[in-house]
Amino acid sequence: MLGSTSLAIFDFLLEFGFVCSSADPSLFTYHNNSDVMYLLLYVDDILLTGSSNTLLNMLIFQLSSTFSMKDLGPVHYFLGIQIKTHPSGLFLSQTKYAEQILNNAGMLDCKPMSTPLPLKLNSSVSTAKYPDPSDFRSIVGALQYLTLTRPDISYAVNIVCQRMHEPTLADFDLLKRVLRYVKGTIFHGLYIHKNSKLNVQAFCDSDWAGCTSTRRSTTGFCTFLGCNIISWSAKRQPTVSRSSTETEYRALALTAAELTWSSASRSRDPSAMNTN
Amino acid sequence: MQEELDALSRNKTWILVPPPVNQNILGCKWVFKTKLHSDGTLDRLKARLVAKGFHQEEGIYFVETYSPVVRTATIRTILNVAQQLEVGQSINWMFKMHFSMGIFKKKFICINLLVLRILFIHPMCVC
Repeated sequence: MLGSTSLAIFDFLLEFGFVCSSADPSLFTYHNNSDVMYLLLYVDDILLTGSSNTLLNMLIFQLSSTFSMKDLGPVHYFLGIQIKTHPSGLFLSQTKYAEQILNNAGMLDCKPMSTPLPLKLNSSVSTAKYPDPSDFRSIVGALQYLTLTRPDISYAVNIVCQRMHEPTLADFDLLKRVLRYVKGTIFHGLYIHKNSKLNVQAFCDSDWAGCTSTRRSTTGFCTFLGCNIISWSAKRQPTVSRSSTETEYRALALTAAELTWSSASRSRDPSAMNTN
Repeated sequence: MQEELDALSRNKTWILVPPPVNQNILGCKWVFKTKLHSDGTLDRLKARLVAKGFHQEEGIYFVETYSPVVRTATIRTILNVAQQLEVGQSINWMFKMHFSMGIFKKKFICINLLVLRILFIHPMCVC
C-alpha cells in the first residue's frame, strides 16, 4: 500500500539531497562533505542515523513540519526487533516475538532442547499426514521471521519450510523440536559491536546431495561487516550437482552475489551495483 | 458479465466522480473467455473488466513502482554502520519515526462507459 504520503516523503527526501540506494529502494543515503545520514523507510516507519547531530535535528524538524509524524526518539523497537543499547554496542533480540510464537503453538511451558534438529534427518518415518496443515504453516511462517536475529536456527527453519506443502506427523515432531530449541534460547539475539572495521567478509559451505529424496545439495553462507554478522542463509540448491566441486562452486556464486549486493548497499555511487 | 459486475459492486471497487480535468483517464475493456472442461465441454463463459494500463506511461503518470519493504540485511547493515559512526559519543543518534498514513486513494481513474451503459447511470461520470 504505497499511499500518497509515501510518495510525498519520497519526493521530500530526494529534494533534501538524499539518494535512493539502488541496492535497496527503502534505503536513502545523504553525503555532504564529511557528513553522512542514512534513512530507512519501512512503509510508515523511519529509521534514521547519521554523523552530525545538527544535520539530523534539521532533518527531523523539517520532516515533522511537513508531515504529521511522531518522533519516537532513540530506537528501542524496529519491526518487532528489540534494540538495546550497551556501551560497547547494540543487542538485537526478538524475545517477545519468540514468546508469542511459543504461546500460539501452545508450547510456552515445553522442555527446552539444546539443539534445533536431530543429527540425522530420516525422511520416511511416518507418512501419516498432519491433520491441520495451515496451523503448521502459520507456525513455520512465524519462525521464518524469527530468523531475522537468529542465524542459528536458519537451517532448521529452512528444513521445516521445505515440508510446508504437505506436512506429516514426523514433520510436526521436527517443528516441535525447533520450538523447544527456541524455548531454551529465547534470550538469544545478535550483538553489534562498536569499533568494528567496515571490511566485508563472507564464509560459505555446502554439502553434497544432502537431501536424500531429491539428491540436491544445500548451501549455507554468512557475511560479516567487520566482526558483525550482516546476512546469512541456508538454502537447498535449485539444481542437482554431479560433483562436490560443483556444489561448492554454486555456493560460492551465491555468496558472491550477496557480497556484491552488500558492497553496493554501502556504496556512495548508485551505479556500483553494475560495475562490481 | 453480471457475475463480474456483482462482484465489483460487492467489493465497492469504485466510486463515481465527475471527470477531473487535469488527470489522465484510463479506459477499460471487457475480456470474454470461454472456459472449457478438460473433455472439451463448456464450463462457463467468463467475463472480466480490465483497465487499460497502457494508457498510463512510466515517468509521466507514475514513477518507479516498488514495494516499500526493506531487506533485513539492510537493517543490520545500517545499525552496524551507525555503531561505527558515533564512536566515542555517549548518545546514540538513532531515531525512529512514525508517520500517519494517508488514506489509500484510488491509483487511477478509469472511464467506465461500458459499465455505465449497463448500470444506467449518468455516462459523464468516471470511477
